[in-house]
Amino acid sequence: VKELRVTHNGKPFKVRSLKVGSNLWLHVNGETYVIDQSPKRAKSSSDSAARESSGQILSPMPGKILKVRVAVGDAVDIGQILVVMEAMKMEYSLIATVKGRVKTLSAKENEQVELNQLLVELEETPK
Amino acid sequence: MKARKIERLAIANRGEVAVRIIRACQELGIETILLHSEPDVETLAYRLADRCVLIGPAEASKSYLDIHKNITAALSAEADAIHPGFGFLSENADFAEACEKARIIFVGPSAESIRLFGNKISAKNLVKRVGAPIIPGYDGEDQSDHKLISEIEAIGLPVMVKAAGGGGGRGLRVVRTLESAKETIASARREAQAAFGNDKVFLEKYLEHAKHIEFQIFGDASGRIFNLSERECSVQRRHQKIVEEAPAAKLDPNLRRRMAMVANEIAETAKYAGAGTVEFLIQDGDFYFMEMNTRLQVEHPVTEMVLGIDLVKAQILSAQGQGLLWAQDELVPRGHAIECRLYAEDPYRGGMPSTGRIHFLSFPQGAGRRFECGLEEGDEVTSFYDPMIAKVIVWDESRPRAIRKMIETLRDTVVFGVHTNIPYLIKILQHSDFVEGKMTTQFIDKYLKNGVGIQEISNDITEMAKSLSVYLVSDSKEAPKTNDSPWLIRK
Repeated sequence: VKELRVTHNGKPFKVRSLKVGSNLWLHVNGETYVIDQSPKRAKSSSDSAARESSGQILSPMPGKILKVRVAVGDAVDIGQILVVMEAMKMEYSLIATVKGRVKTLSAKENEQVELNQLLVELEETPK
Repeated sequence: MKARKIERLAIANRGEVAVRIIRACQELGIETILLHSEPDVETLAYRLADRCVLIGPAEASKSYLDIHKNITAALSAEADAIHPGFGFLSENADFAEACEKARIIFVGPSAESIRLFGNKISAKNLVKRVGAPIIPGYDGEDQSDHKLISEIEAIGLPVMVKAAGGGGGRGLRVVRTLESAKETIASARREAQAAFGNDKVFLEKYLEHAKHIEFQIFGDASGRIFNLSERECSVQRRHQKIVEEAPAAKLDPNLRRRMAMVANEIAETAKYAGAGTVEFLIQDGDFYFMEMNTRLQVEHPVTEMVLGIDLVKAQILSAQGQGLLWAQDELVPRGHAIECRLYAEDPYRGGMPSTGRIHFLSFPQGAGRRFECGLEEGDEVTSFYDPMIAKVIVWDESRPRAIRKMIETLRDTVVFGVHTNIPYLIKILQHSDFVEGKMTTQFIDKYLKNGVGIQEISNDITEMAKSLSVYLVSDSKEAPKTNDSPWLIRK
């Protein structure tokens, strides 16, 4: 970790920073920032948002699949619970972000999944 | 119980509470043996304990919750006592009994007391005898959906579904509509099964704007009950406490006196030994007994700070039959203490757990600041257990000063590698309801359900990051001028 005093536009900043992989961790004036500096890829958050809008439901964290509530071919509505998962002894429900039909389903009950693993793919109903 | 000096104490727990117990043992000249799971070799407790015995894999049901494995490991290491910490086996009467059979001192109340208070029916009967009000509910053996749903109707919505084996907010769900009751019960059962190995649930009327007030009591080796005054833990998310304080932020002195008396009577009637907590809810000037926890609480440090006592040492001393230095009339709270639970989670993504390695960890030490942490730099926050990184506790002369100190302390706490809920905690501490002491158990749902929203990164920060990243990979000893283009700094 580097500790620095930086003056920017005449304003003083006390900065602590550390590079971890492609992420730059910054602690500046009482707040922590994580800045993704991987060269070409879009930021991971906007990336996953983009995939969500395309109907791909990814695992938001490493954990275990408790329940799969849909089957391939099922019609789903926005907000409908698709998969229930557990991490750190708490439950999280993954919901449909588009209205459509279940195209592929790779989530299996009682299976461990990794972060960003594809669980369900939805085919959006044309508006 | 016959007095017997403890030479070697086994710890049937992990994380920060294991560290807390090890430190207490060190000060008492007791050897420590950590009973741990496979992944927990990368923790502070593992490094601090005199000896470590592996008891099983990451899954708690095959390690920290397995009575036989814990007893066998403790015996193999010739431990003469076991401290269960909180959670896991701490409120398991069978475990306390198994310890007794193996001639190991269980640091906690008797198996009988654990069973008495662990069983909601016998606990409520005792409380009724004492004459204290209880919350309407159902705790019968018939666990069919049909029975539970008809009981929910009888109690009147909203109704809380609670894990019978539980505590710590897990396996807890609120039923608000009869249509959703079946689904909610199923979800509570699953979580109860995962957390406690028992899917039995019970029902309780859900109070919509109550304050959570609990009294710490302690029965010493001679059978005397001490009242260690109250804590307020109204700030809860998903029924898990995140900010606790002592004394209560706001409490009518009359009500306080009556509750303290009830807490004492409950403990005295049960001939309670060791640390215990009587939990109440207060709503509209009335208080209700909720439950008695027969163990050390996560939030015990705030009581220690305002009373100047050491509860873990008191537990161990009492377990070996030794007296305490306390006098009830001297146990008067002084100043104000607050505890915040620091979790590895992303506050900008609705509190999603954030697992991974902690690459940097720095706590701003200072007067009246205390940090209880089970991890060190380089350790990993795994998805196997509770994502708590540390408890941050502050003490100051008044509540406003303690709040101020906590905010400053959190702002200066630096964690790199995993996200933390620090921005969320600060938002809680700054909220007018919290500042004025008006928060209820609905505080989070009402005001901060969706976390803190998106983090705004100003241009200043973005530019600084660009320049810094170049600086960090270069060998330059000088801080960069961030108003320069990063391309000019590069050598």
